[in-house]
Amino acid sequence: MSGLPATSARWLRSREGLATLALVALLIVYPLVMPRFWVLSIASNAVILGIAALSLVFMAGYGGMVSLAQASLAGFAAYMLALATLEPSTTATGSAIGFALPPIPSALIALGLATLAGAVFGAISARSYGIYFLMLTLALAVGFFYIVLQNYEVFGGHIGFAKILGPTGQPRENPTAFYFMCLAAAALMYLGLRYVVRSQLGLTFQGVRDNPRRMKALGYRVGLHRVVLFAMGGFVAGVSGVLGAWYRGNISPGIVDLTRTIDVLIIAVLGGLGYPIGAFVGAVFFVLVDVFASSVNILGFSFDERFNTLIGLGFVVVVLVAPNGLVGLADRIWASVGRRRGGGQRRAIDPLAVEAGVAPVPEAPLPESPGRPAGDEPTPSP
Amino acid sequence: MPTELVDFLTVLLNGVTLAALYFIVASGFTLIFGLMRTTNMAHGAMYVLGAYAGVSAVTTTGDWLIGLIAGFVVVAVVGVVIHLGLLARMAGQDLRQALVTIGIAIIIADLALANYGGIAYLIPPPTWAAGSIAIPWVVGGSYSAYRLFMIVFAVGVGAALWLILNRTRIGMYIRAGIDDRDMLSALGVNVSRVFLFVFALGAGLAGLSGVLGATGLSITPSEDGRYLLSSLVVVIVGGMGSLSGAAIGALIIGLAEQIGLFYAPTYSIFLTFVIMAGVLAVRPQGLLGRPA
Repeated sequence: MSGLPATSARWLRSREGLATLALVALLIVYPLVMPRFWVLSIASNAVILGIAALSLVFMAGYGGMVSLAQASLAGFAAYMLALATLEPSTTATGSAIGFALPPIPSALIALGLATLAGAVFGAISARSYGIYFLMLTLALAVGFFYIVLQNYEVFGGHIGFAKILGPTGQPRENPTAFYFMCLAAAALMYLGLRYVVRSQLGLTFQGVRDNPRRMKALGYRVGLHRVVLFAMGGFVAGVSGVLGAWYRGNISPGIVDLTRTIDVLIIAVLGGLGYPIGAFVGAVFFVLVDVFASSVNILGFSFDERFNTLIGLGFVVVVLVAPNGLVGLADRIWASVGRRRGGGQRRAIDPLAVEAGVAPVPEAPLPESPGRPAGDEPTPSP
Repeated sequence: MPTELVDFLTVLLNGVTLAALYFIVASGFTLIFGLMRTTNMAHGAMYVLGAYAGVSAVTTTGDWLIGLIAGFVVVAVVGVVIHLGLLARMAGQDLRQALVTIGIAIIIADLALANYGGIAYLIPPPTWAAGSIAIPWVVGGSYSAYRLFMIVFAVGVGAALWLILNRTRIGMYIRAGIDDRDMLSALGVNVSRVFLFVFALGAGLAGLSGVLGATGLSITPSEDGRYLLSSLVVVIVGGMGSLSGAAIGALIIGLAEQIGLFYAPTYSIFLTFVIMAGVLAVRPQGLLGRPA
């Protein structure tokens, strides 16, 4: 919240400000100079996956909730979008529901329902912590996959839906507009979550993450906060789902299967569960590996067909050697190379180590909190 | 007997046979979790691996029993390698262990696809369990002998595990370890060796059930998700780390799945999840689980 012009100007001149400006400029110029494949299949795709991973990073980092249901929530939004935007099918194997609404209202309905679905998932799992939470959300995710696979009346069974058009029309015909729509959505989600995290609500989330028992004793409704956090995660995941449906133009149970569920986790862990920006770093990396795995050849073993083996190996290696992901690795290298001003300012939380009320609480893990009026609500002391 | 009743009894029997398989898969999962707090996300992949080991062994030797043993041994050995190579190095970090086993699951499933292709395999049942047994109160008047054998086998596995846990020295260590790992170690027991044994046993049970499942139901590389899900739901409902909880959970889930499949085919999974959510609402630790 650098609202004052003077601080903004100072921020813009700082190294971080310059880097941010350069990144924004790069992202704007990118679609104008790159071929369509790089704009759609690499950049837009990565941004969409990145938003889904961002929802997980947000929940894991600030709520200690490593959810495996994010792909399902994204997929749920995509399905709701399809139902809102398409006409009801007349064939026996299609969905009998459809409202033929224009894209934007459909998207808003889908996002609202995804938020609601997040709250429902949250209500089911709010009392579970750590590894139990992970298992429960995984069970919910796989269960949702079987529901859409089995159900023809609503979800269109294994066929799903086709011809879902977004507000920018066919992405192939207007890749630049589609790219900017995705980019704008990602920026909104990123900045919005940043705002939430620094607000009073965000601090409460972190208190609930670090010590639910103490927060309960302080009078906070721990379960409700976890439900709200999950609902917010559902909203962000929903944005990814809506964009993804517009990107592909069709949806099928494949978008919520176990692979996709795990992909979101891989992206978040790859980038670094403690770093929101890591979601996008991980997504770019993931998409590049996905596209170029066929040309990877290690010791005569071609990964042409074995993309999953490559991703699985990479994932295990990242979890073993770089528990804070690529961004964490870069951060560590950066810290050891140069003298860091304001040391530890960007230190990541390690969501893997946080287990409610059990693991030692990481000290002061947060980005600096904005000046809050003193003496309103009790702040969770670290 | 009225057809409705015959239908219902057949569905019940189908549910119990499915529960038998679910119990054996989930027992390995819950043993590992109960003692080591390790969530083996590769449990479904180990089921698939065991099934394919069984397929290969049965096609080369022609003996079903050798296939069953191969499924157990191969996966137990893989489990030992995974445990010693990776999981033992991150003891106590349960989320990190879960992530590593997810990576392993992806690799196993992908290599299974590479080696065996996407087609479904079915192991022929052993000659002594082929054919069917006359039961007057089921549809058609008879029921698959192999599926009845699965029930007997599951009861046998349950009894064997109970004996190991309650009547042997290692079982005593395991029970003590579930209660207090640190105290067990302080008493001079080599806890890491007990862990290794339990992980190998749990993995082996996944492999064994893979062979059983491939005989009764066929196997494809994408089955891993299904059995990971069933293990998760069974232990979530029954209670993590409890063997009798796994048995009750398996029975509930197996029956729910078959009843749902028969009476509301496109909504059957809902029933399973309504049960899971209901149990969690009342008892977050599962029916027989102890509070964490």
